[in-house]
Amino acid sequence: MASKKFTKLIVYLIFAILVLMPLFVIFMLAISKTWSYPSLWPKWVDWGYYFRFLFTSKEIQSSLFSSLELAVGTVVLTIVIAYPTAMALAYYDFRGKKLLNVLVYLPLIIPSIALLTNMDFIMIKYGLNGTFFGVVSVHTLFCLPYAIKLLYDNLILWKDKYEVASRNLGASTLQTFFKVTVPMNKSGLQGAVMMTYIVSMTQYLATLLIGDGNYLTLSVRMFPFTTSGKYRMAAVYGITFMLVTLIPLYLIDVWVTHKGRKIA
Amino acid sequence: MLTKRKLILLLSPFCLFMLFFFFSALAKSLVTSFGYYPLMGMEKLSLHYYTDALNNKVFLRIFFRTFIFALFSAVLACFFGTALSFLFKKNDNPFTKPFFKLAQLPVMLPHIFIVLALLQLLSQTGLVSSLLTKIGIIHSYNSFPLLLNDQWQIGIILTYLWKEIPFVIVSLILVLRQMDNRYRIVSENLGATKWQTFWKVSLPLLMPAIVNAFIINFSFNFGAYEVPYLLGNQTKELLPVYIYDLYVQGDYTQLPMIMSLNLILSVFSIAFAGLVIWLSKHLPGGHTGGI
Repeated sequence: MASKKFTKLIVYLIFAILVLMPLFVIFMLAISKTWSYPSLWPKWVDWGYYFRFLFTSKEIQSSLFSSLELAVGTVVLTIVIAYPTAMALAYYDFRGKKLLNVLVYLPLIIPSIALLTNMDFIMIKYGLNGTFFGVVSVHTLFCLPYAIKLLYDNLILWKDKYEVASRNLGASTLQTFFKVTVPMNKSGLQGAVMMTYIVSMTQYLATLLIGDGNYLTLSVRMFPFTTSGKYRMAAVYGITFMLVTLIPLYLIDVWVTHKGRKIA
Repeated sequence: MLTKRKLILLLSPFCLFMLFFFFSALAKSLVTSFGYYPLMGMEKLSLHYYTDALNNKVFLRIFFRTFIFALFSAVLACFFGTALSFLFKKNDNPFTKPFFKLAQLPVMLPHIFIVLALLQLLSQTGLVSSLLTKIGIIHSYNSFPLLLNDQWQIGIILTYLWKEIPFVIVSLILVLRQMDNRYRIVSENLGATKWQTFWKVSLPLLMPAIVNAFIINFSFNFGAYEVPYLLGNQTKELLPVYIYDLYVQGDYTQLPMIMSLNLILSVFSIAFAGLVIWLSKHLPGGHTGGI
């Protein structure tokens, strides 16, 4: 038994190093002034540089705003579409249910380069390329499979038993939805919102191609800096990305787990 | 409570959205791929873009290379992901919780993030190379092997593994937690060895989730543009870069050809996903037996 625990410790340590090493490298890149071959450690570390840059650079602020704007729009549109779909899939039996299940996954199965060039083509026709709604719609297309799956997995646990009871006791449809369905399936909704937020924040080609360069989000801006060798600038954007994804998601997680679970 | 009217109401947002964006895009590119593109005065329908594509040696070679590469990375990711999930499945040691918390990190970060770190770490003038020079294993950065932008796509594979092994772990852990332990206990009571229990009980129960993750990973590796663009090798181009370059060249007479390539890829990916699901159900030991 002791040797088994030892194996787990070793595997865990290797895994932790492999996961955290890149994060550490990016962090050091963002706060170091010169760090190039053949020095193993940055020659000059300036802790204040990052924050001074964050608060003075218009560029980084505007791309932070673009990222958040698109992510929030995508979360709203995705949940509005995914919630009823997941409810239909979990509560009803109907013809074509299997087909619908496949359809939900299609945007993830079709190679994204093919889907994106097709989408760009049709968005130009609709006149939606470069618009907020156009970019959000394409992000939503990639988020829907995850959101529907996460909501469905949660909704299927209780089906609609409690909703039926609530309706029988005289609650309206809206009351039932907000006081029974949503609170009972909080963890599914949490998962769906988080995943949608992440997928939207990390999109590159969708944002660039459909957005016509109007939405230079954090992950879009990291590209030119990386290709031109300005690793430090890219790292500054990378750290900002981490700040606005990891911290809010961690807070949501803590908030949801600590806010007393009534059922489950 | 479950009325037909309510069902239609629930399904309509999704159906309208898909119809308006997804299917209209597919239909438009289908029509265009047959050579119908009135904007350029092309109105004759024909299949010759498809026959051209299937006779195009360059396209076929890149297609094949990309397929092997995507398959290889997805299999590796699923293998390591499944093995790690099983290793840390039980909550009987202090590492399980932090392990799964750690596994969520790469899922949340964009690919460019790990690409940037790899460039700083593994390029010929990177940190690993510096370290090896310092301790005298190699003489100068020239003798450090080319790991990024290399012929074998090593850099891209590393990037995808860093993102996808955790993705597999995160998707399996949900199933593993809900999995009924009784089947395992019954199997062990009936005299099965640990390996037999794993192969015949636990793995089949987990199969649908693994297949799901595999298909998502494969399709992503097959069709995503950004990483091959950043870490790819120009002489060993991958499909997404090839198609994107054609698309942004801005030659509108080329559009029907690009659309036909897109549709070939889409149909291929869907067929491949179908084949994987079929195989997972029909191969011995793969079927869940109605559980």
